[in-house]
Amino acid sequence: MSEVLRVLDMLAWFPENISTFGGELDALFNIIYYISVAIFFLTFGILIYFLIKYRFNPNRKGYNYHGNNIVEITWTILPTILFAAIGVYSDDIWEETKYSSRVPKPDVEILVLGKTYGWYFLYPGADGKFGRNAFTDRSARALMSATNPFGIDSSDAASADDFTTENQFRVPVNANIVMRGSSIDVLHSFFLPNMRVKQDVVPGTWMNIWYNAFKTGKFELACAELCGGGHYAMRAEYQVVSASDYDAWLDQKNGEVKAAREASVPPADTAAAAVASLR
Amino acid sequence: MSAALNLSHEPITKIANGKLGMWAFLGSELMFFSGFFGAFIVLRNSNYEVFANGSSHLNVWLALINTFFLIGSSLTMALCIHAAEKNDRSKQQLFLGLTLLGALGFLVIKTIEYSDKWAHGYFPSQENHTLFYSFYFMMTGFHALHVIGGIIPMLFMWFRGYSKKGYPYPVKLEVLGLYWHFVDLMWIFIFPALYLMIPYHGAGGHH
Amino acid sequence: MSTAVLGSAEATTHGHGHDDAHHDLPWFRKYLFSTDHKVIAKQFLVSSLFFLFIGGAFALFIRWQIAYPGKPVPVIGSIMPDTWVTEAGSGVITPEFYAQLLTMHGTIMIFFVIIPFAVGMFGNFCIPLMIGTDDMAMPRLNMWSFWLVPPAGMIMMSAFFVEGGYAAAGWTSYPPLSAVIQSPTFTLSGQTLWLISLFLVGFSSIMGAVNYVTTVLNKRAKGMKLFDMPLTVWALFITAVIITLGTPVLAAAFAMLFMDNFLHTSFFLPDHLVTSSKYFGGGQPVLWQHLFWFYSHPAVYIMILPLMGIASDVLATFSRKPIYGYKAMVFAIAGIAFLGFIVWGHHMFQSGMNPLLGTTFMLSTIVIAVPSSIKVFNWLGTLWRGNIKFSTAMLNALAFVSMFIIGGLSGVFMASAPVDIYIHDTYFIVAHIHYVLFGGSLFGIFAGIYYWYPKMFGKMLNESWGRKHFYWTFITFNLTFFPMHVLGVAGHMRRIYDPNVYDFLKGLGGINEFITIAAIALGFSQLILVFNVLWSLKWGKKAPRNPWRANTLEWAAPAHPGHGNFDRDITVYRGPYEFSVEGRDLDYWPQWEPGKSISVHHHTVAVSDASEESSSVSNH
Ligand code: HEA
Ligand code: HEA
Ligand code: CUA
Ligand SMILES: [Cu+2]
Repeated sequence: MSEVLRVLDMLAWFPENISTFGGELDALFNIIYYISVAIFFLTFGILIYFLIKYRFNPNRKGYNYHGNNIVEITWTILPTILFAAIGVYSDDIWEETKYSSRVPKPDVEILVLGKTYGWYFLYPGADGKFGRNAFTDRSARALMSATNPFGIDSSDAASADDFTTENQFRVPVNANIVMRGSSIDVLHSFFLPNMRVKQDVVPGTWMNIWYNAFKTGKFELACAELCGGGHYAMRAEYQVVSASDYDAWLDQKNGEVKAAREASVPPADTAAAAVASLR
Repeated sequence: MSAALNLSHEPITKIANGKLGMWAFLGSELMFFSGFFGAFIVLRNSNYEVFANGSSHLNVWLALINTFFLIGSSLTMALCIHAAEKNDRSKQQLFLGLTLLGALGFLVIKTIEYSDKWAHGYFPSQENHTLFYSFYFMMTGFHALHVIGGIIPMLFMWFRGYSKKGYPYPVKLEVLGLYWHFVDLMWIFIFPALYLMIPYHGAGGHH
Repeated sequence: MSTAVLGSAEATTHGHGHDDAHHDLPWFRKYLFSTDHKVIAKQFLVSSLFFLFIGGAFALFIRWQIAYPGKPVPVIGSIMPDTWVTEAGSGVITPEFYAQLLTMHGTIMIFFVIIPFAVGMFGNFCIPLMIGTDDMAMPRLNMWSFWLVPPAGMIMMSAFFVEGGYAAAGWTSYPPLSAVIQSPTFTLSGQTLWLISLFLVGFSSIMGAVNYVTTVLNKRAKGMKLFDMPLTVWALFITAVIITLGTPVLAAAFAMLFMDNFLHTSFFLPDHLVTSSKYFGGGQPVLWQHLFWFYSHPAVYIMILPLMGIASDVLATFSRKPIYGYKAMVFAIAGIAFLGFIVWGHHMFQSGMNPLLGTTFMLSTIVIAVPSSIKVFNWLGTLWRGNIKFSTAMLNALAFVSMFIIGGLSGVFMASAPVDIYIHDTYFIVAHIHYVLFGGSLFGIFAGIYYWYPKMFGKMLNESWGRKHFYWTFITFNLTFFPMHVLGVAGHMRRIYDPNVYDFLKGLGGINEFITIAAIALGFSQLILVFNVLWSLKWGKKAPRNPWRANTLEWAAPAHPGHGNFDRDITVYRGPYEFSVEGRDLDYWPQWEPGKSISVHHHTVAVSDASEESSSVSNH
C-alpha cells in the first residue's frame, strides 16, 4: 500500500536538487502540480457526481438546455486568468535560466562537446584563457577532427595549456559555472538531473549552459536526445568539489599537461576509436 | 436508386466541386512551396556567399524566356477557357494547343539549363555550391514536375478535342486553368528568388 | 503483409454489402477499388486495426527491454532475425534494434493507426451520411486516398530487408542523426524508405482532406446550415483544413531530408561534422525541427479534434441532452486549429532555439489550453441534468473526456518552458503522449466504432464483450501509463535502451516491471475488440435503423445503407442535438423530421401544429 502511495506522491521522486535555480524550477513544478491535482479532483468530482446523480431513470427525461453565455464566459475567463498567471510566473524563471543576456559572469568557463557516445570537456588551463579553437574563433572549426574535437589551434600559445577531459569533469561549489556546448556529430542533450539543467547541443553552434551548485558530491550527466544505438550509455560523471579541492585538482591537471608537453606526447585520446565506430 | 432521390443537388457554394477542390488543393500546394521558401530564406541568410556565388552561374536570360513562356501560356489558357464557355470549339483547340506549346517550350529550356549546369558540375552534392544548387534543383525540379502534371491532362483534353464532339467539359478546363495559373504564379516567385534576388550578380563569371 | 490487408478487407465486407443497385459491378470494384465512401471507411478500419497490432507488438518489445534489460524476449525471442538480437538465437534485442522499435512504434501508431482511424475512417464514414448526401464530392479521388496507404505501409515495413534495418531516429527523425549515413549516394536506407512512405501517406491525407472540405461546403442536405452540422462533422471539417495547410509543409521537409540522405545534400547538416567525409555543410539541423513541428504540432490536433467531435455526439445522445454551448464548441475547435499553427516551438524549448522565442511559444501554448478547457467544461455541462445511459460507446466517450483531462494537464507542465527543462525527453512526455493519444484519441475511436458499427455493418456490436473490452482497457491503460509520470519526475529519459546504466535510475526497476506487466495485459485486452468486431459481424443482433434513438442524419438511412446511402429525401429542419424537447413525447427529435418549435430561455419547445412542413423554426 505504501508503495502505491509513494507512486501517487509524485514530488517525492525528484532526484536531489543541488543547483541554485533548481529550487525555483521544482517549486514551479509543485505549483502546477497542485493546481493540476485541484483541477483533477474538481473535474473528476463533478464528472462522477453527474454520472451517479443523472444515471438512467426511465421515469425521468433529460433536460433540453442549450447553454448559457454567462456561464460560458465565466469558464473561459477563469482558466485564462489562471493560465496567464502560470505563464507570467514561468517566464520570469525561464528568462533567468535561459536568456543569454542573463548568463552570469563566469567564475569557471568550460567547453563541452557531445559525440557519439560520450562527452569531451575543455578547460582553459593555467592561464585561465582559451586559445584559438572552434569556440573562440569560428574559422578554427575547420580544424575539428576526431582526434582534435575542439579544433584547437596548437600554434596559438594560449592553447598550449588548455586541457581536455573525457566523460568526467569537475566544478567548484558555490561558483557560477558557464559551459558552452556543442556537438561534433549528431544532436545530443546535456542533462544534469540533479542540477535541473538540460540543453540540446547542436553541431555548428554553441549553446550557453550555466548553473551554480550549492552542494558537493559526485553526480551523473546523461544524454537526453536520441543519438543512435549507444544513446542510452552516453553517460558521464562529474564532481562538485570545494574551491580548494578544485584548485588542487586544477594544479594537478596543469602539471600533467605541462609534463606531457615537455615529453611532447600528444594529449591522451581515446576518442579516435569511438568515433570510428560511428554508424 | 439514388437517382430517384433528391440528394445530390447543385453545389451549395455555387462553385463546382472540382473547382472548390482545386482551390483547397492549391492552398495545400502553396504551403508546400512555402516550406521550401522558408528553408531557402533561412539558409540563404546564413550562407550568403554560397548563394550569391551559386546564383551568379545561372542564366537569367533563359529563365526570362521561360517566364514569358509561362505567362503566355497562362494567358492562352484563359483564352481557351473563354472560348470553351462560348462553345467556340476551334478557338478552344487553338488556345489549348498554344498553352501546350508554352508548357513544352518551358520544359525544353529547362532541360537545356539542367544539362548545362550538370555539364559544368553544378549539382546538389557539389562542394562550394552545394546548398544553392540543392535548392535550385529541388525547387525548379518540383516546379517542373508540376508543369508535367499540367501537360498530361492538357494533352488528353487536346486530343479529345479532335473527336466529333470536341472536348465538352468547360468546368474541367477551368479546373485545369486554375492549376495552371498556380504553376505560373509559383514560377513568378521562384524566378526572382533563385535568379535575381541575389546582388553582386556577375561577381563570378557566367555563360 | 498487404495480402493480409486486402484479404481481411474483403472478409469484413463480403456477404454484407448487399447494396441492391450494384450487383452489376465486379467484386473487386465493389470491395477493393470501390468509390463508395462506406467501403473506403471499412478499408481504413481494417488497415488501421492491422497496424494497431503491429505498432502495439513493437511497444511490447520496447516494454520488455526496458523492464528486463538483457533478458531474452519470451516466446518469440528465439526466432527473431539475427540482426535484431545481440547474438544469433540469444533473443536479447540490440540497442540499435531498440531504436528502430521505438521509431517504428511511434511512426506506425501516429501515421498508420490514429490518423487513418480518426480522419480516414470516420471522415469517410461520417461526413456524407451526417450531412445527408450520397457520397463524397470526388469519390474517385477518395478511393485513391485509401489506396496510397497499403503501398506506403509496405514500403515502411520493407526496410526490414535493407541494410541497417528500419529507420532508427525516432518518429521525429531529427537530423543529423537521420541524415548522416555512411552508405553511398543513391541507396535506399530505412530512413529513405521511411520518408517515401510518409510522403505517400501525406499525399493520401491531403487528397482526403481536399475532398472533405469540398463535400462539407457543397453537398449538405437541403436546409442544413453550417451551424446545423453535428460536431463530428465540424471537427472533421476543421481537421481537414489543418491537414490541407499543414501536411504539405511536412512533405517539403521530407523532400529535403530525402535529398540529404539520397543525394548527400546538406539542408540540415552544418559545416564540419566529424562523421562523414561526403557532405559539404552550410545547413541547419534545427531548421528541420521547425518544419517538422510546424506540421506535427497541428498533427496532434488532427489526431484529437475528430474524436472530440465524436465524443460530443456520443455524450449528447446517451445523456439525452443537447450539447452544452454548441457554438462555443465549434469556436473552440476552430480556435484550437488556428492556435495550433503558432505553438510548434514548445517541442523545441531545449533545442537551442533563441530563448526569446521560447517565451513566445510558451505563451501561445498556454493560450491554446483555454479552448481545450472550454470543451471540457461544456462536456461536463452536457452531462448535467441528463438521463445518462452507460452504453459501451458512452463509456468510451467518458473515458475519452477524463483521460484527455489528465493528458491535457500534463501538457500544461510542459507548456511552462522552465518546467520543461527538466521533464523534456523524459517519460513524463511519454506519459503525456499516451494519455492524449491512447487515453484520448484511441478511446474516442473505440467510442466511434461502438456507436457507428450498426450503421456500418448492419449488426449491433455485442455490448457485453464491449464492456469487457472497455473495463480491461481502461484499467490496464491507467496502470500502464500513469506510473510513467513518476518515471519522468525521477528523471528517466525516454528512448533509452537500458536505464540501469545510470545510478540515479537504479531504483526504478520495480515501476518499469509493473508497467510492462500492465502493458502486456493492455495489449491482449485489445484482442477482445477484434474478436467482438468479427463475432458480431456474423452473430450480432440485426441493427435497427436508429438503434440509439439519435438525431443526426445517418440514422435516417437504412439499417445497412447501400451505395447512395438514403432511401428517402432528406430535408433538415433543426440542429443535431434536440433531445428531450418540451412538448414532445419522444425524447429525441431527428433533424429530418418536420415540426415547429420555438426557443425560450435556451430551451427548445415544440409547437403543436407540426403539420406545416414548410416553415420550420430553428432553435439556437
Ligand atoms: C492528441 C495529441 C495531443 C494533444 C491533444 C496534446 C495537447 C497538448 N500538449 Fe502535447 N504532445 C503530444 C500530443 C498531444 N498533445 C505528443 C505526441 C507529444 C510528444 C512528441 C514527441 O516529442 O515525440 C507532445 C508533446 C508536448 C510538448 C513538448 C514536450 C517536450 O517534448 O518537452 C508540450 C509542451 O508544451 C505539449 C503541450 C501540450 C498542451 C499544452 C496541450 C493542450 O492542448 C492540452 C489542453 C488540455 C487541458 C489543459 C486539460 C483540460 C482542461 C481543463 C480540465 C480545464 C482546466 C484546466 C486548467 C485551468 C489548467 N505537448
Ligand atoms: C496513438 C499512439 C500510440 C499508442 C496507441 C501507443 C501504445 C503504446 N505505447 Fe507508445 N508511443 C507513441 C504512440 C503510441 N503508443 C509515440 C508517438 C511514441 C514516441 C516514439 C518516439 O520516441 O519516437 C511512443 C513511445 C512509447 C514508449 C517510449 C519508448 C522510449 O522512449 O524508449 C513506450 C514505452 O513504454 C511506449 C509504450 C506503449 C505501450 C505499452 C502501448 C500499448 O498501448 C500498446 C498496446 C498493444 C497493442 C494494442 C497491440 C497488442 C498486440 C498483441 C496482443 C499481439 C501480441 C503479439 C506479439 C507480441 C507478437 N510507447
Ligand atoms: Cu547522445 Cu543521446
Ligand atoms: Cu505540440
